[in-house]
Amino acid sequence: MLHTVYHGLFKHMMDGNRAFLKKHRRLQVLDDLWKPLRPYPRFLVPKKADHEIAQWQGKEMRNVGRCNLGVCAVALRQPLSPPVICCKQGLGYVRALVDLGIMAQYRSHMSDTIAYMEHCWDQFHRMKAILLEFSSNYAYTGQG
Amino acid sequence: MRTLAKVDEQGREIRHQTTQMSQPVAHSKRRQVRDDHHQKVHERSMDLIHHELHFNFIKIHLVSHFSDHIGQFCNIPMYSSSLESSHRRNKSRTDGDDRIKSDAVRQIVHSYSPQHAIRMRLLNLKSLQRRRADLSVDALQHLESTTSGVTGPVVHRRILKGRWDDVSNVLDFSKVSGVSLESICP
Repeated sequence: MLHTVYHGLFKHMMDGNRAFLKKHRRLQVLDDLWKPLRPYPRFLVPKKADHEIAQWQGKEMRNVGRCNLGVCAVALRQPLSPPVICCKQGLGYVRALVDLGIMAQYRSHMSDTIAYMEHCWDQFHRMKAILLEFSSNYAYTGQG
Repeated sequence: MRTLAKVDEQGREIRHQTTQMSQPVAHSKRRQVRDDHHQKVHERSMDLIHHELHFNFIKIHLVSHFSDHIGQFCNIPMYSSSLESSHRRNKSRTDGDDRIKSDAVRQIVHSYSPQHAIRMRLLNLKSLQRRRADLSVDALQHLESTTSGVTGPVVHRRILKGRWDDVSNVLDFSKVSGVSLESICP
């Protein structure tokens, strides 16, 4: 769970998000939004901006998972350069992963929760094309 | 070679070809030619990106097995980090560091999740039994043998205490404050 969802997919999502916002000149807005986040029960305020953290811990990843969707939504609130459809797809991608991560932590499941998780996973696959060009970290040619 | 480096190289090649093939163009048409060139580079780079980039890495495939895992083991606990820390503890113990006394593996085995899952399963079976559902003989025998074992979770309630030392419950509070017990607890 920790290494699959948080250190695997969330890290990938964060890198892709940053590249997406950088392309559309919204990266500074994202960095500015991290600073005024207020503490909340079960949420620790990050002391550094996300790009300043060299090695992520599980607790930090959980924190990011709790606030990332809101921060991204505010950063893309008034789209100027990116088209609205791109913003929607980007937010849909983040939302699908965050929802999946939260639901995967449930201690007991029903058929409904499993169906929700599968729906999130389908949603992720539908929306991932928007961040495909930023997934170069994991992409290699056929020769490996 | 990374894909983005390929994209850059492709862009350079196209630029090189265009400069070689370029002929004197009127000033009014230069902007249109430049825009066409940018459009061409963009289309080709996107084709290359969509052809070569992918989300095909190991961890993304593990998520597709989550629902099967839940079906078999009830939930997805975060054991990996605990096991890793337990490994580190055992290693430090063999190195002569006996300061850490807690056994992390024992904690993991006795964690909440399996107990909760078994308890929920038994409660479900009991409710099915009450509704006279068609249960197997083994399940019924098991339920009869473990009826006393199905208990609710232990609730630890905090005992509220007053500010005064001589007030430990509502009766004392009633005596000290002079408010009748009937008005406090109607």
